[in-house]
Amino acid sequence: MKISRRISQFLIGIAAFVMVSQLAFRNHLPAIAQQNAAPACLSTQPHATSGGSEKLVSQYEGDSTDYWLYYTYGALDTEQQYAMELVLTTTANSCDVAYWNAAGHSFSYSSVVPMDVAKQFSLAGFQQHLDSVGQQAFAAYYASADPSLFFEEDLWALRQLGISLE
Amino acid sequence: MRDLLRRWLAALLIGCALIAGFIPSAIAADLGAVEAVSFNQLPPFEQDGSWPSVGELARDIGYDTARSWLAGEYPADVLKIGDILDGLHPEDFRLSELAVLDNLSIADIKLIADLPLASFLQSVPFSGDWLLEQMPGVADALTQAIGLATQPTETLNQILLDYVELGDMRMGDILGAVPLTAIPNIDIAKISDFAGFKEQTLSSIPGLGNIPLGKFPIPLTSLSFTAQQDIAFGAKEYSASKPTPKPVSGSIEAGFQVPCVGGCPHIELTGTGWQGDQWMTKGHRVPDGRGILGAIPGMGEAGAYRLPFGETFALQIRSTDEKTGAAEWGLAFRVCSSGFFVDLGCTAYALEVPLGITTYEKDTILTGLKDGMGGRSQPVRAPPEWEALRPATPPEVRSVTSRHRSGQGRGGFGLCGEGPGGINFQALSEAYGYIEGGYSSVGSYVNLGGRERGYGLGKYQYMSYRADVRQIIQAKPGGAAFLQRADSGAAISSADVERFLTPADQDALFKRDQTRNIEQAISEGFTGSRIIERIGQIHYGGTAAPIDGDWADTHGRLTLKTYGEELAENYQKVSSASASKCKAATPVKPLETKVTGTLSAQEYGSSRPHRGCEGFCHAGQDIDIDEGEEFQAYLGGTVTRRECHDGGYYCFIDIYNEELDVVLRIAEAEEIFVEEGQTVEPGQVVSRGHAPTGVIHIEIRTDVNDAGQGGYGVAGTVDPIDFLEEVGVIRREGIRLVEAHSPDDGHGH
Repeated sequence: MKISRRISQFLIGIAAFVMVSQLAFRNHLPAIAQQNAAPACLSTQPHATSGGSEKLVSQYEGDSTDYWLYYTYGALDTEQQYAMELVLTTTANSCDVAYWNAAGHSFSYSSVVPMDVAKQFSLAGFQQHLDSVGQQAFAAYYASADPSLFFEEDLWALRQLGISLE
Repeated sequence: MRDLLRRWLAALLIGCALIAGFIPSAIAADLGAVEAVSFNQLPPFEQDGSWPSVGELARDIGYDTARSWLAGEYPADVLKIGDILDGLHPEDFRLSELAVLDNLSIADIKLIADLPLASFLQSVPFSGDWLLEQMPGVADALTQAIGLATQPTETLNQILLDYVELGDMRMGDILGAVPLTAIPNIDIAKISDFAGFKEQTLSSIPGLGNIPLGKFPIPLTSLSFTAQQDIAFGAKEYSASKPTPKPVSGSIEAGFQVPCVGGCPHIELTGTGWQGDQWMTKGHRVPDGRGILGAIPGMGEAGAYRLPFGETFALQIRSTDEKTGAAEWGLAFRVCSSGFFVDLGCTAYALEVPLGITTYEKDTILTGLKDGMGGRSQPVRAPPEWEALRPATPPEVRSVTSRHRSGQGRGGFGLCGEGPGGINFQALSEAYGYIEGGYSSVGSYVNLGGRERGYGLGKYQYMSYRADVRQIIQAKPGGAAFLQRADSGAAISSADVERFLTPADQDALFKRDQTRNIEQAISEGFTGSRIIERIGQIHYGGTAAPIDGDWADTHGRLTLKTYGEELAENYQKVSSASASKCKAATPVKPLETKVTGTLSAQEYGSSRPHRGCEGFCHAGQDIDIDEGEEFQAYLGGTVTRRECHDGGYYCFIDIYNEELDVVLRIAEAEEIFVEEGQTVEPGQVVSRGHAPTGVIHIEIRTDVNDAGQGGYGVAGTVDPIDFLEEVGVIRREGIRLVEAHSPDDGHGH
């Protein structure tokens, strides 16, 4: 009886730790959202209505607003080589486009979302790049990069991945 | 991997040695006579021998190289189709081109006899759809072999539905006695149509061993592409001022007789025509590369090489060892970029990788033909795995090519522009037109059996049974019904052709098709006007058309050879005129008003790799304008879209130019002055000011939908400044854009 009570206490402790951990880190982890439905306005964006596709890169859940970063692709870009970033914000009652980089400009996420969110978006983008080319090529690519070409959130994200450009 | 490559090279060299070694010396001395030699004429092996397996690689290359043979066996019984595939392309032969099929039964052709019935039915078009009563002997054979009672009106496909296990049985076991000619369409089946064809020995295919080497789809015109390695020398050789006297290595730019001075490791060659020749190691640096890419620091010099595989990659000696007589081999790659408007040239063969192959004195080595071109005039094919050794393109080269590269959707400019080899599409189109007719031409009905029945359609007489033609036609309302009529031989009209395969369809098909043909001709070693002759032959007779063959179509007026010659003659006549016509046909005039703006640093194709784009992301060209400054349309046309957003393109318009079939997108404007549906003149002011981005962003889009609107993304764009320069609207001077003919240069309007 004692043993089973201790086991129960242990399991409850584990569960409590997991829940506290999730709450504590909820806003600090870049997340590829699996569990949440796509924002309602995603399907009405021009890339979608013109036959293109998209890929969710990162989602950040804020207190009242959620932020979504998608890579979108034109209808001809079937190999998904040329992403146009789409930043959406959603609340309980709204779904808005914060920025759609259709022209393919170099732009700062932090110009359209809070810096914390921008950092997570940038980190998720770099992480994808690293995953696709491998650590060695990734490090070599940025080894001689000019830091002036990167935004603050990019430099932060690169540091998280072990690359310091300053 | 190294072991596999070594075995591959061994197999390749052994193959060469086999061929060269068994040709009577009198014939070998006369290379012209070599072309008349067939595999069946090669003498038997003098000794037992064997080849190793390529192991798991067999799955990739489609057959296993492993085999052994005894003294006295003939090469045609030992060599497999896969062994000679790359050099001669025997798989393109139809069975009926090799032998008279009338007296043969299925059991006589191992290629077919070994196949399971189900596989065979997939290999020969429609063979499973014919009634048994139309295939003499098949029903009886089924009864005799497996006791199956059939109905005359059944087909083999229907029978297989009821007797699935029959599909796994060998053709030889169930239909071996059936005459080959009882199988419909067997005469049009190519060797490559049959599963496992690479495993078959040459002698197992009737008639193949009798084909002279000069009559294969890609004929072997010379066999002198190997030499023997003699002595390997180290760095002490020619360390003084005396140059190596008989060099046969070098580079495309420096030639292939570049002597070395001051310490030159090399191997000396021996063998007919190569006695005493010297192939330097890559330590002998020679000028190489051309154009903008060749001018990049570090990309204008290569280690000495030869090109027995053509220009895909170079073969180098990485090092020599005097003590052991060894030579270590390597490959070297380069990067070329021939854009739609700009030829950036090529880097040197500077991307060097080891091959993991060592040769020794007396070994046979691959030199390529001694043609003064490093052997590339008649390249042999390298094992495909060698391509995988290509290293990553250096960032400095990528940055040059990405700045100049056109988008994926290039094309759509009618027929203006050049294909591979500098072939002028407009001239080529007109040259074909003299032979085939106009866009609404209807050819005569052709029935080759099976699905190959229908009409030649339009200016280029593309057959209505071609898959790409059918795809275009089926997409149109009423297209399926039209194809049914064409298939059946019912009358079709010129109006039908213009409706279901429009001139634009024909031209687009033509450019794609001819690009493939040109590439094939170049890969076969053709240059100059012979390229035109050859692509004519391919157009006329298909990709497997024998070079300069005497085959003729049902009209019999032209053979493959004379068709090609007539095409080349026409091309010469019209090429200069068509180039100017191409310009003149462009409805776009040089701008007469002041051209707005200067080029911003954000060029077309600017890279943002960490944001999901691998080196190429900016879909347009940014143009700096002052606040409140007006901006004009570089092209005239119809405004097909006018939208404003909070970000991205901000306020933008699409102007569709019908003649060029492109959209000019002007984006990031503060204020737009024109409405959807409005016609805009070239040079007309359409907007004022700029978005918070501080620039105007322009794109030329070739991905135009039915409403005349452009799509989204980089795919479907071309470099707008290159394009506008090409069509004669503007020209750039540094970062300034100016009128194509400024008012003070004497070209008044």
